[in-house]
Amino acid sequence: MRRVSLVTALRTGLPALLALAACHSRSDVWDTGAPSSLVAVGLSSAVVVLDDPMHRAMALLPQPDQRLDVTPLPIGHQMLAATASPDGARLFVLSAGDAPRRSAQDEYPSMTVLDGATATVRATRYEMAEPLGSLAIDPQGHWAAAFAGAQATTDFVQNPNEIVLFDLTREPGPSNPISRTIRSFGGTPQRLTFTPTLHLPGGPRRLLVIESDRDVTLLDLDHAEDVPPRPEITVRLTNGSDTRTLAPAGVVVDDGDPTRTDDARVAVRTSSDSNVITLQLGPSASGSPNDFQPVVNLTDVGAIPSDIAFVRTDGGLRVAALVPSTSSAVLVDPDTSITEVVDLPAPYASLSLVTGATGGTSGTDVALLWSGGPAGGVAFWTLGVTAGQPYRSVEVLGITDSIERVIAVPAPNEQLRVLESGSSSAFYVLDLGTRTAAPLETTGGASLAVSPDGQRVWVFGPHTSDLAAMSLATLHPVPLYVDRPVDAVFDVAAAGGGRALVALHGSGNVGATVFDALAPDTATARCYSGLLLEGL
Amino acid sequence: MMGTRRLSALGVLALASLVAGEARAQEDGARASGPEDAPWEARLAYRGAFVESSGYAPFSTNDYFAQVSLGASRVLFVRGRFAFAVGAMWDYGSTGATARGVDTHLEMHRLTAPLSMRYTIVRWLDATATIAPGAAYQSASVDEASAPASLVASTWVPAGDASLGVAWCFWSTSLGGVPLLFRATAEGGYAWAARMSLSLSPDLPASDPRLTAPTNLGELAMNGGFGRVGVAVAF
Repeated sequence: MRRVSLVTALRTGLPALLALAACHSRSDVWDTGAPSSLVAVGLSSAVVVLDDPMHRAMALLPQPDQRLDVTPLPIGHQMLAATASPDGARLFVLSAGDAPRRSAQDEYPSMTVLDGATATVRATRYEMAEPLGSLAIDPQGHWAAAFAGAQATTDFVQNPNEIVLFDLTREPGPSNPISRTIRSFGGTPQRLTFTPTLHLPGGPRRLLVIESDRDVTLLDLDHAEDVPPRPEITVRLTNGSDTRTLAPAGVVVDDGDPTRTDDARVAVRTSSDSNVITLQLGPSASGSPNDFQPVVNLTDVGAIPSDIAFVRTDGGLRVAALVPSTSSAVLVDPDTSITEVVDLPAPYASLSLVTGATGGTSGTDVALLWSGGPAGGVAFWTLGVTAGQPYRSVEVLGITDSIERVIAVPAPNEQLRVLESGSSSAFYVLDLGTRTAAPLETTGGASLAVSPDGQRVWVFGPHTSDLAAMSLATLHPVPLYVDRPVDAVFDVAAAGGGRALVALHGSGNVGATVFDALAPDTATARCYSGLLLEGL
Repeated sequence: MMGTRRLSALGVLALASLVAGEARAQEDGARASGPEDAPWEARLAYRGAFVESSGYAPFSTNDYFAQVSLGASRVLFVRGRFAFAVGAMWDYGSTGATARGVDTHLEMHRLTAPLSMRYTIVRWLDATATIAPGAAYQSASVDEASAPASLVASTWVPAGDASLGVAWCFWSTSLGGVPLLFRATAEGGYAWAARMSLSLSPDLPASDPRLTAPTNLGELAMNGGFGRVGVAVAF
């Protein structure tokens, strides 16, 4: 009997014990897939790869000898948007949090700020009450604003007119961020613009210009935190007697004469009307809660404008409106609404001021005009010779390609622009000083990235292994070999001096090839693989 | 996963042979001889280990690691009910899983020299205490899509086991005058292996000029409790 009992114990007990002890499952992190698509943002000294499934951002910090320091940083759950500040110092990540929130551990909606200005990256979290999926960043670094925008509603009830303002100069707290609901005439905010400092009757002010799908709202940022808050000013674009809904399509801002406090202006174009609307910010009526008030002026430019800008001409300040359907530009005097039509040789649709880079005559502007349409082309518009002889003010460059994008080049080559062509086989380097455009050809579709130090442009074929560096001083291309398809490239400062090009490979758990950006050479490049497998 | 299934099948076979031999052991147990008559022993066993290291997680969905064991030993001396044996043991196991959507694989060869003290409780039942110093060869690989080749890391690390067990002689016979003792064995204890760095590098030929950086998955230490069941034949 004793032998049978022992055998029975061995036969049944031992496997049962083994099985019981084997029931510890591994952490869920290994069963969490990689992000479905690569989301990466370049900062001044780091490349940040967002790993939303793991609620983290992987900061890739270039080190000497093409090495990378990989640092995981926490971000909020359920990422909605990620945007870098214009100077590349910070990354802003909006997150929806855990919805529905069932436990104290579940996260609220939040914005995480990753400060990448230094060799280490620091994360700061601002919590919100409601998930908002669109983000606007103040170019001066003081503010950030979250709003619903065109994002789909995620909550059962959502206030699409709520704007959450983050004061980036202060730590998160009960009064930071602050929430404002914009008065609505049926519209919802679509686009936000932070103005530079404007000299208004009540003193220097910064405004937030909010474009909804039917009106424009001005919010005084210097009094945004007042209790009770000063009400915002909403300008309805849609006339009460008109059944059309005029949707703003872009705003421009000008402070006017810096010695005056009543001539700051905001100009608005719409997507469906031929009028350009200017708002002159003058003194407010007594008793008004705000110390400025917009005076609205409408000027018909003949057809729907595709782009507008405040320009300084030999005749004074004007609003320049490009009207492609009539192949013309219209100069609007904002004081008198008198217009002057300048016939253009092509239906240019976009403009940007290049005055400083072209050595324009004192006090007047030079604009670069281009078109992404089938007519294509690029021209200079010299606004110092418009009065009386507008036909002499436009100089056409010999480019017939459509131009999709004009990329500004930082100093010391700020006189250059890189023109991204709509065709798949060419781009141009435009010298604004000599008004020459050097064509450069590619064998296939190419994406361009200008280095922040203004010395070179990187050209790569998205999802291919084609990569080249081109010096902007010599326009000499250096082909580089990459063994994996490239999905994005970032030229960032390396620790200890120098710069690195980080070419990201989005397949799997993300790889990278790191080049010495100042002396790009495949022989010294270093390959990284499975970056999102690290730090788990 | 296939490796785990194969090893599990071996374990089932070992147990089946144990059951099958039970009846014959009762008939033939009287003929069983002592360790001095059958000093050599060969063993086939199934080993299950529980790995505590977080570095094991990319390679398995749980903390269990199955292995197959082959070993041989010889009794060096006998004092009354005590006998001392030395031997050699090879444990082999492999496991695989997916980690963030990529296939992973881990393989381990464990070579030890068991030093066993046996105590004969009754003629057909021994108790054993064993320490087994040795070394383990561990090889990890990850089939990462962003890598130019599979990411691999392999190394030898010091390893060792300490265990207590029993050996039940369920059948004895002789072949050409040589006594043959068939035993079922079971033991349990703690296994140790030094830490291995999971810095995995692309498995490229040595002549490949590319500079590559490792992917760091942390460290792996194949430590934890283990059990081993098997069959042995002494002669």
